[in-house]
Amino acid sequence: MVYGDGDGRLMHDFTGAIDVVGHEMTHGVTQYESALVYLGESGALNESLSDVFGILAKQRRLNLDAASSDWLIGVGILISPNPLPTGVLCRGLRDMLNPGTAYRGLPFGDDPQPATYADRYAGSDDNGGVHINSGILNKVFATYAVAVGGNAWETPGHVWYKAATGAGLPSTATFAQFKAITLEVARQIDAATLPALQYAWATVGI
Amino acid sequence: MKVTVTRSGGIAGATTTASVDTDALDADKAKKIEAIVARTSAASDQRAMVPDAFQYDVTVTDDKGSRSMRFHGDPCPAAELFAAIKKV
Repeated sequence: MVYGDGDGRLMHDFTGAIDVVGHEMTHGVTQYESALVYLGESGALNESLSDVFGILAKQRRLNLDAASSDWLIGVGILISPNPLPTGVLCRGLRDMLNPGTAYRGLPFGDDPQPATYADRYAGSDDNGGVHINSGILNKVFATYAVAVGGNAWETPGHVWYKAATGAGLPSTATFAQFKAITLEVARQIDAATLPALQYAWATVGI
Repeated sequence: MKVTVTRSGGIAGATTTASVDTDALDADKAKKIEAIVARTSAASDQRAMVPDAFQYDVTVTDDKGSRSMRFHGDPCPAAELFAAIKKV
């Protein structure tokens, strides 16, 4: 489990943010329950699960339903100039509902996350972009939760947890394999949410 | 000797690069960097794929040619090298 002290120049200390703590704890759960290899698509899924259960911890704590949540991971971690110059964004580390819009024009850089599968990162940085391509799966979960309505930690969270920890998920799971499992689990848990889930996967082009 | 270290990953998933040409440094600074490069070259990546740890890609070019190495995790010689180059 790796946290960070922040360097005081680009980032503050990470341990105060409940979603970051939830993110790290979830890596522990994933390691034992899912054993997703931390590389490529299975690694991005590993990362996305950490953001999903991290955001659910934050939403539960603040009692925010899917419609009211900001869906931002790591608010307040990035250091930004005050006031923010025009055109500069500093909303958080990652935006789960709108990947790629969390920050822009900071000394830290620009949010690199893609919002669709077609735009996925294919290089070798970051174990094959596990923190980058996680945005695609984050968008699926957030879109599903907003479409279903109510609390994201209820049906959407249950579907995701069962899909992530069930015996059918290979450790080298691709996004397509995870999609198939989520559809099957949603069918079992609450088939009425299937259209919302299919829609969510369609918005990222998987 | 030209040394470039690219650090990626970490919980924020951002990539940043540090490079230096030791020929352009004064002798004792150059020696310090070259010593860390030697330790880095001798090290192996023991900690692949620790979630949210950094990935370091090191490229060294000298009169022997060019070589690249990859490491994961902190602490590691590559992390030390990255920090040392940034300080120069």
